[in-house]
Amino acid sequence: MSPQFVDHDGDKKLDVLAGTFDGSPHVALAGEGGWGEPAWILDKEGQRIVMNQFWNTESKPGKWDETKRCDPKDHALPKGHLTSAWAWDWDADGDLDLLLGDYDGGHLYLRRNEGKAGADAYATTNEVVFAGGKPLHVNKTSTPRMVDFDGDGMLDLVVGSMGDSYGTAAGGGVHWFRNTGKQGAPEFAAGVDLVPPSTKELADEPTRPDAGLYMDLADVDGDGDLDMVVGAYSWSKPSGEPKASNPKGEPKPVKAPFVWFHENRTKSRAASAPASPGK
Amino acid sequence: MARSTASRALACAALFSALGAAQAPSEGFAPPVRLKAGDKWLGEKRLYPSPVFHDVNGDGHLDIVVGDLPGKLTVALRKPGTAMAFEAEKDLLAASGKALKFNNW
Repeated sequence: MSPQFVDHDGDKKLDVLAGTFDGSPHVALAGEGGWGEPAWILDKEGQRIVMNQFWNTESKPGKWDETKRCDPKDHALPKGHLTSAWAWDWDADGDLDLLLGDYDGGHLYLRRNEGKAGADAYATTNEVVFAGGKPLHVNKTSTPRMVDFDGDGMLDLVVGSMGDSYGTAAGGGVHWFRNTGKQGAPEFAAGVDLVPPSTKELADEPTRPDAGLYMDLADVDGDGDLDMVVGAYSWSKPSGEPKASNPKGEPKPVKAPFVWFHENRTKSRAASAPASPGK
Repeated sequence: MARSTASRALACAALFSALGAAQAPSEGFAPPVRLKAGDKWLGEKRLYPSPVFHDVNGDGHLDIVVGDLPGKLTVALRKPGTAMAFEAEKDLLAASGKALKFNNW
C-alpha cells in the first residue's frame, strides 16, 4: 500500500494517503484528534479513480471488474491495476496531482488535479507518464516516490518494482528516473537501477530485498545524501534440521518479508547519482 | 503540502557494520542490512511490507511506519539516542483509538 504522509486537504496537518489493492487511492484525513477513517479519493464527477481493473464493491458480492472509463485519451495501455499512489504538484499550479502506480502492467499514470488547493477536482481520465521517450515501465510497479535524488533542485522519480513474487523469475528493484524537465513541466530520463532487479541467489541467510520492493528515501544520518529503506520478500536456502518430512535436512528455499536499510555513503546528492541518460 | 522528510543527524555507521550484510545495490549504497524492531525483524510476517520514514512522535527523529497488503499500518519508533535501532512495532492509531486500517478488497 506504500503510505505517504502529506497535507492533502491543505489544513496544515499531515494526512495518510495510499493506493491499495482494491484499485483506488485512499486518504485518511487528519483532524484535531488524529486520523479519520480512510476513504477513496474521488474524481470531479464523484467517481472512483481507477485503472482498467478494480475491486467492484457495488457488486454484491464484490468482484474483480474491468472498465475503460479512466483510460488515457492517448496511449491507452492494457492491464492497468492501481495499487499505489503519490500526491505531488506535477504542474506547479498549487494543488496536488496524483501519481498512480500500475502493479499489473508496470506503468505509471498521472491523474491531474484540475481544481485548486483546498478544492480538488481530479480529472476523469489518467495520463501516461513517460521516461526516456517511452511509457515508463518497470517489472510491476510497487510504488513511486518524488525526491531530489541528485540534488539539482528538481524532484526526480524513484520507482520500486515487484518482480516475480512467487517463482524463480527475476525479482524486483529500485529505479531512478532523473527529472530533465522544468518546474511545472517534468520530463524524465530513462531509468537507472539504484537496486538492480534480483536474481534470487540463494544463500544460507537472506542477503537483499528480492521481490515486492517498496521503498522510501530520506537523509536519516544527516550527511547530505538520501538513504533508503526497502520492504520486500527475501529468498534464502538455510540448512535444514533433519525431521520426518526432510530426514536428511536438505536445504530448501524459503521466502520471508523483511525491511532493509540501504545507507547511502556518497555524502552528497550530486555524488549519489549514477550515470543517467538524461545527464 | 509539506511532506515529512526532514533530515535528522544520527551516528549509525558503527551499527551498520555490526549488523553485517551482503550485496551492494549500487556504488553509492552500502550493502543492505535487515532492520529489527524490538527483538523481531521489522516487517516480519507481514504481507508485502511497505516502509516509510516519518517522525510519528515528534521527537525529531524519523521513525518507520510500515504498511502492508491488507491495509494495516504499524510504527516502529526510533530508540532515543540510537542510530537505526527501533522499538517493537505497534499499531498506528486513528482518532477513534482503533488501529488505522485502509480498505482493501
